[in-house]
Amino acid sequence: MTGKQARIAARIDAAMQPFLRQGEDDITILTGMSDHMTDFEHLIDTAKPGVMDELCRRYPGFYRYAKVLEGIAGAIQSGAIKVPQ
Amino acid sequence: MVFEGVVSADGPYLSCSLDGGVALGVSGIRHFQPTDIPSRLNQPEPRWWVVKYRDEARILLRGFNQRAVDRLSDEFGLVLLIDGESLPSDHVRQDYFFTSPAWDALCRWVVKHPRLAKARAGDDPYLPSWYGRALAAARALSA
Repeated sequence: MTGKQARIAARIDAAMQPFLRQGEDDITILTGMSDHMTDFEHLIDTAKPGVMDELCRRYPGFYRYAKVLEGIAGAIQSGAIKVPQ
Repeated sequence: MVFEGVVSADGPYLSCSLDGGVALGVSGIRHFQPTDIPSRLNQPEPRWWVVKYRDEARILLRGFNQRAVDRLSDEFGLVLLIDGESLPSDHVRQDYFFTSPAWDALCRWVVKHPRLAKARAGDDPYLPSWYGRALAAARALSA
């Protein structure tokens, strides 16, 4: 894990806290955290095997955000969420 | 137990060697029995822990009594989290740190190691602008 990767995950973790405290749903989190999507994609693109797991263990808010994105991606893939062509 | 203040990717950070660490500014001390921890840290009854936010147990304060907890709280500006009372806001937690001896020490470190400190200025996810604030405090002291 690089310092930059940890820093990005920590920022996402910190930004997630208000949503977690309020018990917001996935769609609200997805919308409210849109500024962090690019950083998350950067992590996905650059992280070596095991790094994302380590970041998720170290930053529970980051883990929650990853699960939200995973759930949304799964729903799009299954057709449960329709995306305009 | 030996506690050290360091600057990590998480920003100003409380490190306790092999016993763990936690970002300063969003942390506190709480007497409770966490559930989501490695089994080697499981305790049969509630203990004092340094926590991140409210529930993320980070450092088990083995053998700490109230006096030791108060000292650690004072030294690093760790707010005491009392069950049943509302959670202090992030600003309140940050203010605890910004009035602690650990903050004074960080300001001195910034003055003593300006290039290194500047290089770490972006490490501030949990304590935004700590570097600029430290510079301002140092200037005020030297004026």
